Amino acid sequence: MNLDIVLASIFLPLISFVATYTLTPPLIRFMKNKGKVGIDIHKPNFPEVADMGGLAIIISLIITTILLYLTLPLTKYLLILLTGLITGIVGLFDDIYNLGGKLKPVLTLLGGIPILVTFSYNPHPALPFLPVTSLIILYPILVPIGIAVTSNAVNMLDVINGATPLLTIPIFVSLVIVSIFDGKIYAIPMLLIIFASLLAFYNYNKYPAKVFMGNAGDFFVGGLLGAIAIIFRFEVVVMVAMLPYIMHGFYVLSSVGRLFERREIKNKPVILKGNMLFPSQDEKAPISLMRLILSAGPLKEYEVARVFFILSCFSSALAILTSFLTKI
Amino acid sequence: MKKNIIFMIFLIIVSWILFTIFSYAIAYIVTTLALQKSWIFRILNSIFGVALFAVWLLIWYGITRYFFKRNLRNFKEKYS
Repeated sequence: MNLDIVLASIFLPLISFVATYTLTPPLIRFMKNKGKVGIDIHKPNFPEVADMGGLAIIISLIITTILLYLTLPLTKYLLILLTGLITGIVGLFDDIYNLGGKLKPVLTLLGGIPILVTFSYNPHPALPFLPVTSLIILYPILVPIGIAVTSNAVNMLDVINGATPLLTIPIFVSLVIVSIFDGKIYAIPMLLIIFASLLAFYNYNKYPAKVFMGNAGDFFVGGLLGAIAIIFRFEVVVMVAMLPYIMHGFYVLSSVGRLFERREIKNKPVILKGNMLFPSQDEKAPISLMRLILSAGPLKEYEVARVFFILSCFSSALAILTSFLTKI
Repeated sequence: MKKNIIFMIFLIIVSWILFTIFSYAIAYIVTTLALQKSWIFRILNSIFGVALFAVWLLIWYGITRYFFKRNLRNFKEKYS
């Protein structure tokens, strides 16, 4: 069995990488032909960029997760994929029909159903300095909320070129490290498959982006993160690794005071001058993570992307440390 | 870019410390709640748990807002 895990951890991520890498260029052409493009608002000439590129990640992960299940028949893999697909479909509908700022988070709660009906959760998560907790009543309520939070958080912070791969790749790497230390080796192939797919996609999504992830891809990746946290019992690790996401969501919602759609915000938090990004001086503009970063000084878009990556690496390192603290 | 990174890492550390302290306190209350026999104690503990959560969020938002406003003031002086 261990040899199967090793082989699955080597070959399936390779397949995932190649599948995403080869699927994305035809998808870019298809989206451009269909007029599914987005405006790159952080570039001086506002170029049109192909949208919904995250579909390449979804397709390659469906293929590789099924292959993984055939190699290591663990229903946990299928459950994680199913959760991601439910939230991904919500994102796809949002890409096509624009669901609005209130309906979208509500619909993503549905992502928790597969985990709840199969009882694939353990209501005793370990916290720092508290190895055993008893959240028997609270935990099932938190399952759909957790999926909705992770999927919407990933979508909310996809504001610059390469944001989602740069912010999530360190999280998946930290989860691989924690899996090794915790002996949760069954999680490793799944984590590496997602990591490889995101890495391949980054090649097209990095500054200057040839394709945007789209809501479908963002919600899918966020749903996967939430499902992995619950099913493989990485709740606290994912929570800490996602601190930049949580901070962004919390600050934006606190400063705006309600659920909203990005398009509804008239007072933009960030202003483009030439090729530099400045924080808005408007009192009514939401406090976003990017505005917070820029409040220490203006930056170019690719520099903001670098800061995102460094912050995610730092919070992922803290997540590994937190994982050790849960054993004290 | 160095200044931006240092500022944000400071905020992440603050958020992490607050998370560690408050999540411990809230989870401890919720876990001991399950052992309580008296309903009065259960209700009191629940209220205390929710209050702690609110305090956590208030402190978190307050600290961020303070440093953000300070940064924005410095930014205005430097760039306008």
